[in-house]
Amino acid sequence: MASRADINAALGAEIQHQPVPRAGPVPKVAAPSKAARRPAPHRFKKPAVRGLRPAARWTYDESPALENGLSFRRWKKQTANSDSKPVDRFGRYNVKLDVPEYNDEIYAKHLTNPEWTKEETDSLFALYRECNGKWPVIIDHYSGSTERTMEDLKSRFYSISATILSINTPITSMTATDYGMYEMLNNFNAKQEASRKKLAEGHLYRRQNEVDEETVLLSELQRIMMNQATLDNEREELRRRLDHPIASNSYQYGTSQALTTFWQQLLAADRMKKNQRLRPTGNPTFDGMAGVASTSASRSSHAGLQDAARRNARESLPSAAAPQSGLSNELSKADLLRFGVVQSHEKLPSGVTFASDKLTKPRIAKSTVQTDKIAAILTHIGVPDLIALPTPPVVEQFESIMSKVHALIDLRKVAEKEEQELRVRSAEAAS
Amino acid sequence: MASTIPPTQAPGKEDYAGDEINALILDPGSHSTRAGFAGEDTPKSVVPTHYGFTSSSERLFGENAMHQPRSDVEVRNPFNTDGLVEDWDTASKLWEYTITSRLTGARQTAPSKNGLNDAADENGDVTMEGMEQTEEQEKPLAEYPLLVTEPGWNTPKHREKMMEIAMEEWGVPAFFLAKNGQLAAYASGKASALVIDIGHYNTSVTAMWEGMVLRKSLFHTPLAGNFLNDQIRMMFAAQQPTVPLIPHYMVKSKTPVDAGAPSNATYVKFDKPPHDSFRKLEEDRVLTSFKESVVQTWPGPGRLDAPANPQGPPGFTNMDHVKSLPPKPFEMPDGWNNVFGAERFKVAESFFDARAAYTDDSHPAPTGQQTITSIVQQSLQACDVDTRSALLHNVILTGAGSLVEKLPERLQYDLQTAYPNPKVRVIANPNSVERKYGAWLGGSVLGSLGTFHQMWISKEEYKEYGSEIVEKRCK
Repeated sequence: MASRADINAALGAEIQHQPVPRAGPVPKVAAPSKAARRPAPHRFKKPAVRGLRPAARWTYDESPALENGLSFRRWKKQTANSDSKPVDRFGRYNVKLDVPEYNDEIYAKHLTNPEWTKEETDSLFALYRECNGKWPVIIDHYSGSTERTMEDLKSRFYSISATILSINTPITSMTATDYGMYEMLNNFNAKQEASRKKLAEGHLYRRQNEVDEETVLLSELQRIMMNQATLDNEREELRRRLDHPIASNSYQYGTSQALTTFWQQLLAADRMKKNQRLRPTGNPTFDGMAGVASTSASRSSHAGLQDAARRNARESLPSAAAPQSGLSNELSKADLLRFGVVQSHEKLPSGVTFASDKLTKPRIAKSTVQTDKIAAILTHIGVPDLIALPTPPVVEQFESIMSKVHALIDLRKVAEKEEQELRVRSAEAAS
Repeated sequence: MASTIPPTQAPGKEDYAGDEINALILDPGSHSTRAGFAGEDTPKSVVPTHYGFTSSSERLFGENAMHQPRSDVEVRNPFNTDGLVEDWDTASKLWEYTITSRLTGARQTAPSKNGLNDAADENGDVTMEGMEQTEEQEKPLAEYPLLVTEPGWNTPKHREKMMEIAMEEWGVPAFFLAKNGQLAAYASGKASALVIDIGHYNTSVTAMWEGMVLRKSLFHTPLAGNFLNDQIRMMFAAQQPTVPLIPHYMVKSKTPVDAGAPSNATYVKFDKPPHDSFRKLEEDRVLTSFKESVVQTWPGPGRLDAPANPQGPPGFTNMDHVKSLPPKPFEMPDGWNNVFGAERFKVAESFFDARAAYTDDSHPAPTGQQTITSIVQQSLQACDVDTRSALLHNVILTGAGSLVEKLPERLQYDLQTAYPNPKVRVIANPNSVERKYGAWLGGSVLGSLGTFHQMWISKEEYKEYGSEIVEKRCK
């Protein structure tokens, strides 16, 4: 069922004059008679020839904005009530520039410049206003008696602006923004600007290969910066993890040592029980000597598949520096060389040893006399006291030198003995 | 007064075409004159600028009147080869014809004046009083503000004359004069751009910075549509055997012939043949279709006579490559037909390479300074360094002469070679109508802007300040 609005829309405006029942079903009997009087559908029709329309007269609003003595006008169609109040709908598009102003007195007092006449300065300011401060346009339109570059114009304009700014508001009472502006105007460096322009001009004519090279370098930099970001993230993450909350007294297992002790205690306690819930890690460093004993004991009692597998796993691990040694197995030969990882087969003393010890310890003998002797020989053959990097070849070389040094010392000792003997004998023979 | 908005903020929607005032836009060119209402997308009235001058000093305007072969008609052009108006009398008549024939219609005589309503005296004469008062309204364009385009190098005298014609002869209520380079940039929606307008007699370069024309950057060169016509003519003459150029009006009937064979047509016999200038005009029409269907610019890289690629065999130039491309056929109005291979590239090459031009006694070779690439470089040299890369990124190619195939590609390539570092972008509207009428379209956009209204020079201002006001207002 159509609503009243629909019918109105369908039948046009004339239907409104007909009495239409307010409620109830729409009287279908009434519709045909009205449809007969329905007007032709209204269509927008352009006049065939525009000139035949009633002539439009144009009138204008006097705009309040006045410039150069010319008033701007706003055109509109003249209507019967054309003397309506002028509306300045477009007034806000009369964008004006804030240009510093000066008068003759100020000019004579502060703004004189041997290179500029007053007329030239005036024309520069007028041009600035006219071109809305667009410097490329100003330099294009500027036509003075002397050739001037854009830097000349800019430095003149900026220095005047700065002076006027400081006259209007003394520097002491300037706001931060004003002072920033003043600073900026005063700091204009025409020479620097000119040399920058020169560079920019050269930049236009760079050859293709230079452009390509720059593109490559830029993409490289981009890649580095991308990696830098991920690297920083990872570092941050690591730092965050290392920088764990400091253990308070209530939590006594803050350090790894304490944790290991705790583990060993638990393990020992667990072994007392019938149903063991904990399994040793298989690492004697963590499990302690008791653990090794216990596993060997348990191996004898529970000889199961599981135990066998565990044993295999344990035996496959290198014995001494078990926690770290897994690393070197995964490295290829080239990587071993690259990172300087050496798998030594000699027995290492327990605890931490430094490779550099191998370079310092042999120098020290039991007696100070001996130590001095060794030092004298080493200085004589030119081995420095401090060797920077104890790489395996260096250590090897040093050891071979040391063995020779020791041999030398022994030989000297023998020689001395023999000499002594000889002297004694010759003294005996003489007497 | 409402507070002003910052210049970076776009005007509100209601301010576009805010108050329609039916402004007329007139874009007078040396080849065709375009006119239409502001806010429309194509000029409704396009009339050739050439006109027929009969022996009885009558002027014939419009396509229909002009192309009749009459012995007593001489074809003339009110413009000189520099693209400026020389014959003001004819030019104003032609422009008035362009506007009134299609757009406004002849004005009806006012009922108070048409004599039908006047009481006749006893002799049947009507009094002629009161004519002077209504004369103001009788002027042809009294209803429409008028925006006229001008070439960038128009002289102040020409501008003032233009304003006087509009105000005094046509009685327009408001007037404005805008440079066509500027308008072409507006049509592309750019405020900063380097506009290259290839017209009939002249190719012009205009640099625009934030909506304002940089005057020192204005350069123009005669290497344009008419120059290309001459090149084609000389190419036809240089062919072996020479290519006959017979315009349509001379051919009565034709029969098909083989390619390269002499034509087999019957020609119209004239007791007194039409004027030479008429024949030239009609030949130009044939050349126009030749340009549209056959001529192509070598798209680069390199010039046409440059080696095709550095790694390739020595001595193999782009020209040799072009020769291997399939040639294009063309049939003259009299049935003569042939294919054009390398020649169709060679005629347009002189736009970019002065040495490639065909020359004869009356047509000396253009200088290297006159090529399109060269005037673009000169124009950029006159602009500030900081603006150059922005301008190169917005090179707008417009004008009917730029419709030669692959011309934008070649221009892009040549400019990029001249300036390797900045990104060069040549914007050429793919729609040929918009390329042809670029300046008119920009005028249409400008004239329909609500914000433009306050720029019009009104009749009152003209009366107050005289025609010098055009220099002050239309920059």
